[in-house]
Amino acid sequence: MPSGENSRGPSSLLELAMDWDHPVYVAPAVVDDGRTRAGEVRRSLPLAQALAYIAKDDPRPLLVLRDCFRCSGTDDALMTKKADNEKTMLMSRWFHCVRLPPDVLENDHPFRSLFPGEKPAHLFVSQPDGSGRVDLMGDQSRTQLWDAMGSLLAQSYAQPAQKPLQELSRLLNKLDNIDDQIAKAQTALDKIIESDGPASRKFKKLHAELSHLRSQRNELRNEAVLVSRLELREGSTPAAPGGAREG
Amino acid sequence: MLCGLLTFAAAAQDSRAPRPEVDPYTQGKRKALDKAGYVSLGPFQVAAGHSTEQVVRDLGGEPLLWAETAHFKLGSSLDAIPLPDDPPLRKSLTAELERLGKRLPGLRKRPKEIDPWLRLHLYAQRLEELYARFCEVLGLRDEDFASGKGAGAGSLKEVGRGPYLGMYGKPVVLLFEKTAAMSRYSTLHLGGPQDLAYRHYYVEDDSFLYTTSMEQLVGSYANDGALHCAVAFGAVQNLVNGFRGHTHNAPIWLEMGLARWFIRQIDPRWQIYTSPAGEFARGEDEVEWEPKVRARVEHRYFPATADMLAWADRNALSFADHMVLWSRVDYLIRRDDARTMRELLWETMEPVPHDGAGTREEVAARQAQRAFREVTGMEPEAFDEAWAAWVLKSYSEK
Repeated sequence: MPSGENSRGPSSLLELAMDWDHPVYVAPAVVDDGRTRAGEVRRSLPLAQALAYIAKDDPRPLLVLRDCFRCSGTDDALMTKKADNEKTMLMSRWFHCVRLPPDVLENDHPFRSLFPGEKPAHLFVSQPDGSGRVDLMGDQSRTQLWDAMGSLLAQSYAQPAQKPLQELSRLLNKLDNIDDQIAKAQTALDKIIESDGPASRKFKKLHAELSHLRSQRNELRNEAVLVSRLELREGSTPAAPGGAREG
Repeated sequence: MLCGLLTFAAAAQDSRAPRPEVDPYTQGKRKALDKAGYVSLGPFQVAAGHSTEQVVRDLGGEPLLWAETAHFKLGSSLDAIPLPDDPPLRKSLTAELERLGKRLPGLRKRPKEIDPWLRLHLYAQRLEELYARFCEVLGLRDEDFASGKGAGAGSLKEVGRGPYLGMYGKPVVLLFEKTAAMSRYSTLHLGGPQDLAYRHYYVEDDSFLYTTSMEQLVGSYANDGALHCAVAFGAVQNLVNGFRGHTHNAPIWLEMGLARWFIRQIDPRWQIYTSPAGEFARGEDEVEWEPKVRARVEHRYFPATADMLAWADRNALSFADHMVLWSRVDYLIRRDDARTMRELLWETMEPVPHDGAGTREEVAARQAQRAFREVTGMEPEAFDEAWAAWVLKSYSEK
C-alpha cells in the first residue's frame, strides 16, 4: 500500500483522491446515402487527433497513464509503496489525469500513437497539444516524477505551485485533526443522547461543539479550494521545442 | 456513501493476468452447469446493445468472468484473494464454500485461496441466496408474477411486466476489481463515467444494474465481507425499485430500509452507506443497534415517521436516521411475519400510469404516503407510538 494514505482521515482522502478521466474512443457514426451505419473499423488515430480526443476542452496539462496487467496494481507506475505519494496526489489536481486501458498498446488501438515504439513509456506529462512532453518509464524516482510534473506546472501556470503545495500539506494535517475531533464529538453526543437524553446540558454543549467543528471543517475544505487555484498562462509554451524527453 | 474513496491496490499481487478460459469447477459442461444452477457462463447479452464479449473488448481486455443464474446476470473481474484472517469472516466463508461444494464438483474442501472463478461462483450463490431470502421473508413466489412469455417490455400487467418480481429482464450485477474499468463501462453504456457504486435502469431491457469496484473499499472495509454487504445492499435496492415493474423510484425509506435489514442479516459489522463522504465509517463498537435504538426511544429522540416517509436526499441521512429506519423495517417485518411489510411493498410499488395527473414521481409520492396510512392502518404519529412500544418490549438494553 502506498505510504501515507492509510493514516489520513476521510477529508484528507477526499483531497488526495486523484480525479481520473477514463476516455473511451467512440468512432463517429457514418452517414451513407442518408442512412447511419456503424462507425469505422478500429484503427490507431494520428497523434494530434488522439491527443485532442483525450484532452477535450480541458486546458490543463495532461498526465497520461496506461494501465498494465504486468504491474501488480495499475498505479504502480505512478505511485510507490515506500515513499511519500502525497505530493504526487496533490500535484495531480493541476493536471488533467487520463488513464488508458492495457490494450492501448495494441497496434489498432485508437490511442496507440500516444505510446509509440516497442518499449513505450508507462506514463507521460505534456501540454494538451503534446508539447513539452516528458516520458516516464514507470520505474522513475519520486524526484524524477516531481521534476517532470513540476516542469509542466511551471510551463502551464502563472503562479508557482510550491507554496500552494505546502499550504495543502498543512491543511491536510488540520483536516485530519478536525476529522478526529468530529468523530469523537459525534460518538460522545450519541452516548449522551442514549444515556441522558436531549434535555441534558451536555447534549446542548456537544451539539453546539459538533456544529462548530463541522463549520470549521467546511472552512478548511473551502480554503483548500482557494489555495488550489492557479491561473493558467495564456498560450503556455513548452520548455523545449518538439519531441519527448525521458525523465 | 461509503467512507471509501478511490484509493490504491491493497496488496501487490500478480492478479490481473487473464483467467483460465474454461471454468475449472464445472469445466463448462452442461450437466455440471445445471447442477450448479447456471443458465450459462457466457457469452450472453448483458443488456441491449452489448454482449459479454463486447464488454470485454470495450474494456481493453479486462479479465471478466460471467455467469447467468436463474435470477441474475453477473460479471466479475475480482482478483484472487487469500482466505480471511478475521474469524467471523472465515467461519461464514467456510459455510458458504460448503454449500457451494454441494453444487460445484471441482471445489476442494479447503481451497488455499479464493481464485477469480471461485469468487464468481460465490457471488452467484450469494445473489441467488439473497433473492430467495428476499422472497421468503416477504412471502413472494416467482409464480406470482407474469410468466414473461410474450409479455415484452412495454406491456404493463398488474403484477409487472415479467417474471423477475415484475421486471422483464434479469437484474445485472457487475463487480470490477478496478474503478477504471467500471468508469469505462459506464462511459460507454450508462451515459457517462461513474467512479462510485452505481445503479442503473436499462430501459430497453426493463432490468436494473448494480455495479461497483473492490477498489472503492478502503481501510477496514477493504475485504470481501464488506463487498458482499455492499453488493447485497445494491441488489435489494434494485429488487425494490423494480418490484411490479419499474414505473417510478421507490421511496428512499423503503429501498434503503429493506436493503439495510437484509444486509444486517448477513453481517451487521459492515455499516455500508451509513456515513456520508468525508466522514469516518462507524466502528465495530457501534454495531449493536438494538440497545442504541431502544435508548433513543426511551428518551423520545428519533426522526419522526412523517419525516422519514418524505426523505428526499439519501446523502443527508445521519447514522441515527439509518438505525431508526432499520428498526422500523425490523418492526414491520417481525410484528406479523412481514405481512404488513409485504403489503406495503405491493401497494407502494403499484405501477403508476402516465395519465397527466401530475408527474409520475409526484403521483408515486402521494401513492406511497397513502399506502403507508392504509396498509398500517395508522397515521405516522400513531405508527411512531406503536413502533416505540414494540422497541421497548423487544430490544434489549445492552
